[in-house]
Amino acid sequence: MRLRSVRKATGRKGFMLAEIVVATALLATMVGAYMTFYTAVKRNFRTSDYDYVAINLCRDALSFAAAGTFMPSTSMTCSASGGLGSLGGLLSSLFGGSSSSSSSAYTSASCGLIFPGINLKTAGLVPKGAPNSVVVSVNTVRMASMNNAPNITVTVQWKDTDDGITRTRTLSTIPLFYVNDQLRLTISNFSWT
Amino acid sequence: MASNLKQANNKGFALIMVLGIILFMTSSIVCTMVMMNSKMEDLRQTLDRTIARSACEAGASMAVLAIGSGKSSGTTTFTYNVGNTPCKITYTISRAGGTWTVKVTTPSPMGFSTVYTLEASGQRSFPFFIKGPGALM
Repeated sequence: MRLRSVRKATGRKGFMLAEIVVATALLATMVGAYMTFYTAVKRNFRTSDYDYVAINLCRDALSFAAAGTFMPSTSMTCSASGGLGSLGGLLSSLFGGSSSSSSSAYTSASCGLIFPGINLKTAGLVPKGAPNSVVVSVNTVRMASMNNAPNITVTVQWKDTDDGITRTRTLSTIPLFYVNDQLRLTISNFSWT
Repeated sequence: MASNLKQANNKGFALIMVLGIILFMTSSIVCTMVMMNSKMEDLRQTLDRTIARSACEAGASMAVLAIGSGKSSGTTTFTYNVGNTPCKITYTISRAGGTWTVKVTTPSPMGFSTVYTLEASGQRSFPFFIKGPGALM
């Protein structure tokens, strides 16, 4: 009785229950949708972030290998848990055997050859959630189907921290260095339209 | 009169406030989507260019090998796999005086409407007939 008289006096009415219920339901639905979207965006961003790094690692390793650092029929791997060393790689290529050297945190001899002077971990070129998951492989083989031309393939493999899936990026080329013995072609232009 | 107006203002306030919040959230989602799409597009184009560059270099190398085998002009098309992406590469060999020119083209490996072109030229540094075609290998 007193409340009604107060409301009448001030001319104020509270929110209707239906209005509150509808507003809360709308807000809850929207916040739910937003959180789902935000999680997906965050995951995509993180994946694409390292994808970008992986592409550039591929390109760097390929450029270095294509400059004639690795003889044809060489296989090298750079990872946090060690891999083939330079001598091991060469022995492997010459005699078809395998050799390994123990190392840690991307400082093995092969890592030094693939990325000279760079430690992937300290340079921040590893995914934050799985810094030891990056494996870089460089393989140089002659392709019988292409006039026996030497073909270099670089693969960067890493573990996605969100979904745990191992992802890879691969790049390969037949470097001019190996076949350019007499013509000495120089690339003058690379463009796109 | 004033009390009636106040009463009318209070009606549906919660609903309008929530609609405002939803509008704000939706616009921020749209902004995020636009930014994310542009980043993903940038990544795809970088990857496309990187693959195309490798493919074009492979094309130039094949052209050099073809020149070494005695080819002096003409256009050749072949398919080369850059990683797991097949690229259709076309190279054209031409010669003007002592200078060889190789033009390599490849359509976008990832399906964009782009055509990549690589041009390389150079002169033979040593008489070819001394070493023979096998010397290039």
